[in-house]
Amino acid sequence: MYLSRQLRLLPKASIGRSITTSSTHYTTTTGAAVAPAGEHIEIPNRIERSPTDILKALASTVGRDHTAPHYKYHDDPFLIPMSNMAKRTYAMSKEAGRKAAKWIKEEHRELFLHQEAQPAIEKFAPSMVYTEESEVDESSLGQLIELGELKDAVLVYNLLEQKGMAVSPELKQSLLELVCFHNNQDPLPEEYIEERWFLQNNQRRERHGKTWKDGDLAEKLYAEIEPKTPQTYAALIRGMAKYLQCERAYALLQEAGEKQIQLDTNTFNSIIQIISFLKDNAEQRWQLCTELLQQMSQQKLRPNLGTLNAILQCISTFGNFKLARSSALKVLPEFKQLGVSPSLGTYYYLLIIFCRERGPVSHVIVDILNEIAGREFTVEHPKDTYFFATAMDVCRNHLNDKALAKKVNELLHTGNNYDLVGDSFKESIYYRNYLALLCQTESIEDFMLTYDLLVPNIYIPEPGIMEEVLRTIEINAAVEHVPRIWSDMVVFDHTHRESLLLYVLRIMVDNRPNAETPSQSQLPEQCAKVALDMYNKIEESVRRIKKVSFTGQMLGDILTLLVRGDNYEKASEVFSHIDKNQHRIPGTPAESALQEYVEASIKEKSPSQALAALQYAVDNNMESSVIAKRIHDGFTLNEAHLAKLKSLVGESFLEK
Amino acid sequence: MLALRSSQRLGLRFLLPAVYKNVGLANSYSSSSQSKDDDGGYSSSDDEKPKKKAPKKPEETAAQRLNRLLGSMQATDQMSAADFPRPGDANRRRKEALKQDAASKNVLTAAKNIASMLGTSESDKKQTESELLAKLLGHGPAAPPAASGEAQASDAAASGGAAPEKELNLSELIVGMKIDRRQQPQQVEQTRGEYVRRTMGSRSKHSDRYQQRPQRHTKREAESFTGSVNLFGGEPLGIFKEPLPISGDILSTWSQLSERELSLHAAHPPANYFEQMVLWTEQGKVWRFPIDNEQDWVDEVNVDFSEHIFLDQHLEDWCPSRGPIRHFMELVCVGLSKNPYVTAQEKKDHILWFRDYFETKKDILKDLMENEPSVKVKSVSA
Repeated sequence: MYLSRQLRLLPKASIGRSITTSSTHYTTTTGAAVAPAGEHIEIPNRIERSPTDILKALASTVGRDHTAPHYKYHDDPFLIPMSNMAKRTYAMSKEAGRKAAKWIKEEHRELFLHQEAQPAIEKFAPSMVYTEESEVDESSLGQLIELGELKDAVLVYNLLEQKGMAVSPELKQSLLELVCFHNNQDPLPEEYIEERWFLQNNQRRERHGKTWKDGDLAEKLYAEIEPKTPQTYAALIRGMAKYLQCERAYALLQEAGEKQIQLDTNTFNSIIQIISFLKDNAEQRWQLCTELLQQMSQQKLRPNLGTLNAILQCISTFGNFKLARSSALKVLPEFKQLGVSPSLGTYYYLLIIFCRERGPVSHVIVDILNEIAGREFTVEHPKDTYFFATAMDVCRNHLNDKALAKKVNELLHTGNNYDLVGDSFKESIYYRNYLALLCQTESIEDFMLTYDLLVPNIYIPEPGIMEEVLRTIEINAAVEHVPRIWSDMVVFDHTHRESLLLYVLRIMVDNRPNAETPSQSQLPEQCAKVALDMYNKIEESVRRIKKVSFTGQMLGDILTLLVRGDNYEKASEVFSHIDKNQHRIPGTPAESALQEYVEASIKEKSPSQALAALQYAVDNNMESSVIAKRIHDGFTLNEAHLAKLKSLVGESFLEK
Repeated sequence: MLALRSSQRLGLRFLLPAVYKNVGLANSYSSSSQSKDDDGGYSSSDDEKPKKKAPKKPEETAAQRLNRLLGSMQATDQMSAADFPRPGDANRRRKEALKQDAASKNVLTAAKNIASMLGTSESDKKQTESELLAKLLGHGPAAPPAASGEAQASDAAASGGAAPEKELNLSELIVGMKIDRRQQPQQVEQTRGEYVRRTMGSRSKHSDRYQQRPQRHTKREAESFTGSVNLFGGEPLGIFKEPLPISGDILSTWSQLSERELSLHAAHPPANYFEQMVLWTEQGKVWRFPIDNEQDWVDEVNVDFSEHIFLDQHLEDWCPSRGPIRHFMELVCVGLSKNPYVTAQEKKDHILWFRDYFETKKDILKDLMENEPSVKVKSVSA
């Protein structure tokens, strides 16, 4: 009671305060009621909200945290994936858990009959199982078609047939559409979102050949429906066109034309899409395409976005580059006149029409970006998701233009456009091209900013991209970034790539850090750590399948870095490894490496190590006089050592 | 490019006395190696010449020895390779065949190199090379003996010394060897200018490599702008002239399915808890927003609360107005009226069940009443 009274008092109190501050003569008691005459309060109409609107509004307030792994991964340092492989594995195992739960729910349905929730959540109840004995009628068939349950719908339909129950023509038509749409194959269940996200990774092959099942249920249903309606034709034509039974689909379209059956726009679209399978060269294709459009125009069919994209898809298969360009530029204004606004898929086709590997360079992407910059897109066509990966590919491989790439990236992060990035495969292509382009064109500092932003939570570079990054570092002599990159390489499991290892070593050896500058004072030590880490990694790798073997060059570089990092103890260990395993290690260390090692030995006052190095140099026919001279000057040698020195390089050099 | 280290040479010689006796060259060989031991290995280039010019025959035996050892190595390898078939074997074999193609080329060049190193005259070189190849590619002891008498002798030596050699594996053999790198061009101290020239050279090599790849071929640095493309301002096709009526899809089920598929194209794993909730809501796994107590309230939408509370009305037409049964039924009604978990219809059915129950038990009840005079029979008149 007390609280409610307080609440009731609250607005009055605040009004009173505002009025006293404005020093008017209104009294506090009537403040709420009194309003200036003529002021009209307009009550806005109620806006109907869908169940997910508030959730979406809330979700839009949560941005992407670049420092955290994706939400789908378990928030535990041990379980954060650090390689592309791990990302996939973890996500898929989570999905596998969902599948297992679902399996148990179906397998032990008797345990899930209770309904805890009130109102009940039907999704949690075991799903209906249809068997040969089930009591079925038309309504259950209708329900199943509504839900898109292909297998059960077909089963129920067969049961109805067996029992001699009539199925209405409308229901038969719906079933025909369902069967044609899925080619009588159960699709991947909708809820397996991760599986779909990673599907393209291993399923690279696109549908190239015919997959339509000839003489299967769809055609039986088609034969059963009498008289044939436009819908019947349309369903079968679209099904055949979708699963690339092209000849028969086209024949059926012609048959429908002869019988004066009025089809619809989407059916024509499906045929335009497969023109490239019907005709062999560009001129014939273009001719057929215009013919079909003429037919549509005669039948008073209004073309839509699907038509536009189908035409462009057809044009993109033209080998004749000039015809492709000119016809595309005729089609676009035509559809603008018709008031069809293009989707991202349209621009994707434009890009592949204009920017070809062997064709002349085209800056069409500039015009496209001028057209669509800052716009938000929703998915309207299946190919819409191809745009961003292709656009970035054009930016990198066709034009090599950093500014354009940034524009594309900006567009991707406008509104909900990120939904259209496609799947994990396209996303990684996008970022691969983006990073590779930036590391070729940006300064190393700017590039590293982007790198820090994207790696590792959004994108993990493949070894090829890592090499590009290393090349950039080499060109810029930015050796200070090497320790960071090396730790990334370890985490991403790139350490079994010999070329990358050599590259890292070469950068560190060739760019001797300047110890005077404070920013680089730590570097020799860090480089030595990297080298030591690499040495241990390679030694460990013997036991693994992907084996890396030492080369003389590699060991020489490691030796140099250890010496520079004042880790003489480890350096001599590495050297004794080189010395002992001469017959296993191909190649020899660089002479400079040995010289630096000998210098360090002199500093550490260990003549026998220096002499071992000299012995190695002599045995391997390397330039030894410099080393010998250094040893002779640097140490005061005892008799035994002197004798050894003499025996290695001969008397002659002492006389010099 | 292998040359035996002198000490190891001696060691090998002790292992193989038979070889040298048979060939009868032990003396000349040991003398040559002895001379090298004196100046502590052949390190300087001055020492090389006598070695190269050393009598041809001992060098030949060295080659033969190498032959033999290589031959025995092949044999042991074969034995270990003879294994049971395992899954993936066929694939592995195919890969190996590919590798061997490359390897055989290497073997050819290697054999040629050794031959050129060992032999001086052209015919010697050829012979050594063919022997080496016969040994290596003929896989072991089955190698055909060469035609010359010397080769026959070496073969005899090989068969004679085979028994002690079995244990001598490749690794043991190679351990003592040094890699001869004499032919390497002498690396000179690099000047700054040279370094720059070299790096420039390697840069251009890099770009060469780029151009070998067809994809990179099209990449041009600082490409000049090729002019903008007027995307929508061109000459239209001119097929659709008059305005056309908007018509829907004639296939309702198809369009529904394709819409669903399209939305899946843009679906991606939820990126935060709210998106997760959106997904669950769409999948029907959680109740929907806005919060509404009457959500999915289908059974009893049109049932008034009074039908839940006032249940006496169902008693009126059958229940006696007083007595134990009436009392019992009133208690049932009170209980039911407080139960929120069953529908009004269920409550009514529950009560009517009692009616039927008492109906069937009428006779027993009547008997009981007669035995108990205090209760009047009148009450069970229904």
